[in-house]
Amino acid sequence: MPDKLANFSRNPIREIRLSLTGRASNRPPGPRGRVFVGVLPEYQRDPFSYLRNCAEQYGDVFSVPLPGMDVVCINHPDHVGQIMADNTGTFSMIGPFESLARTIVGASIPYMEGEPFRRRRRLITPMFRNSSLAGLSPAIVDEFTHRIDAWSRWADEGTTVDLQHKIAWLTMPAFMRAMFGITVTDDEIYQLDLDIRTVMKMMSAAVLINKPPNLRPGGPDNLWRAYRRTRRWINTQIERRLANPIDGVDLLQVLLDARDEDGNPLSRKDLVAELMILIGGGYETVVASTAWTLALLRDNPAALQRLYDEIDALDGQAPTYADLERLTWVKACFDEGQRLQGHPFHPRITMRDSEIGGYRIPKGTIVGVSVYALHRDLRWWRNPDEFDPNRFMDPEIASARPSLAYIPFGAGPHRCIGSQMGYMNAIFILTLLHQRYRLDIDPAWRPTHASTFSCTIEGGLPVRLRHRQTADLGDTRQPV
Amino acid sequence: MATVSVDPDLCLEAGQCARLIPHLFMLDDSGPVRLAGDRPTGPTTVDSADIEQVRHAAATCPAAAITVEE
Repeated sequence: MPDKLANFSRNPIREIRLSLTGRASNRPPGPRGRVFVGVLPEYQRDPFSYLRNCAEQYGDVFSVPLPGMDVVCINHPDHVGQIMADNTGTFSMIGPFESLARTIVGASIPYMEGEPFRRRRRLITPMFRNSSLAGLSPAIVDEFTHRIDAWSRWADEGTTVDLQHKIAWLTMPAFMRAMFGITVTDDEIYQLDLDIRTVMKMMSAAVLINKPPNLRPGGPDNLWRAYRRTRRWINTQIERRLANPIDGVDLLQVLLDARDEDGNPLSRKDLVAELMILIGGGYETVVASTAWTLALLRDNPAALQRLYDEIDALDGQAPTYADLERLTWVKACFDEGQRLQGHPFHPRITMRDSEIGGYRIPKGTIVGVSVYALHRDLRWWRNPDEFDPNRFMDPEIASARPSLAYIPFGAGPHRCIGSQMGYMNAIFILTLLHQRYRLDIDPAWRPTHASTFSCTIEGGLPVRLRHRQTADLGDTRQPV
Repeated sequence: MATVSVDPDLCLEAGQCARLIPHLFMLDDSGPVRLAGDRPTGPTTVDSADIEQVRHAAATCPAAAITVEE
């Protein structure tokens, strides 16, 4: 009875409707939560640990009582497949809000479903293929190289800098240059970085992992202003391109040239929405996962040494696309960094009554997976809190776990379209950085998760850079 | 009897499928994935010896471009 009362207080209309239709039974177990607020305070304080602890206590399917929402968290790779690799339309990224999102911001692949989604995805796919990434890679390496070289100014000075923030200043201009043929100025990077993070804060606020950005008019971090400023900037790039068409092909051109079956181009609204999502997804995600990898490598000196050994085989040459296949340990380190980064809650909306693991999931339920908890599940990960890239390097260890126990890019049709590009950028950055520098991190400092869209490190990554000396090369080797 | 199909328009050329089952999934410099045999996009009947690997390839394809019909 107290459970029913608590549920009713959080979500009265839904509880009445479920009771009247006889669908209120056989719901997953979970914490009871308080009246009205449910477990909101605990969840918002630390959604990462909270859902991990719930998974350990309640099993693979559990309810998370939050105000106004019916939330269920799943924690088994089979269930991940059921909600993310679903092709029956039972679980949706956007659900009933598809037309609302299309009206307000325009249609973009994360917020589309069904045939329109597949058409749009097919349209964008060619730019993210290995063959086109190979063509983009020299410009990306060039952009990374001269920016990482410029860090030399404050290396050896004993100055502590936030390297996480510095990495944003690598990935954003590289992405703009390669994908849109644009060279962005420092002022533009500063403003776009701030504005896009504000817009993404609104998106993660939808699953309550953080408070929304400033919604009142005024203030530099005001959501509407940030959104309008970014739209205006993107529109300027489109106008510039329309006035000066190019011979080559980049993502902007692909989207401008795209036509549907009736020969119509993308509406300007959809074009801007798609570009905004691509920019947001294209740079800050790599910032967060690379920063986590660097922060955690510090804890495993043997892994770090092996990384130095692998990149030193390039003899100081800038990495090329062909080198990516050889940099397998760098990739394993990045995969392990992404494992421990882990998003707290990756949601889908239930579009029709369903069942997961024997429990009833009524239409309208928000079902999600805590990637953070899944990536630390003792069934698939031994000593889960340790940074051990060998989990991804050793084929026997890697093949012993279900493939959907590791989902840094999601799974199914909506899986991140830019995953290959993400690997490429991260491996290039990790290689170029370690070819030049050593990172000193205060031994007392520990990284903690920030409740942001990309799950960055709270407060950044405080690092002092030192130039590598000849004697550093491989550390154990004698200077030549 | 299980069959497999691929959607080359969605293929990101990651090459995971071709590394898993090279005699079925063809991927080279000439473009996105094709299936061995007469039908480059399928449906193609899967040998019972390969079915587990094909299912794995479909589940891990970064583009969700592989469909298995059981």
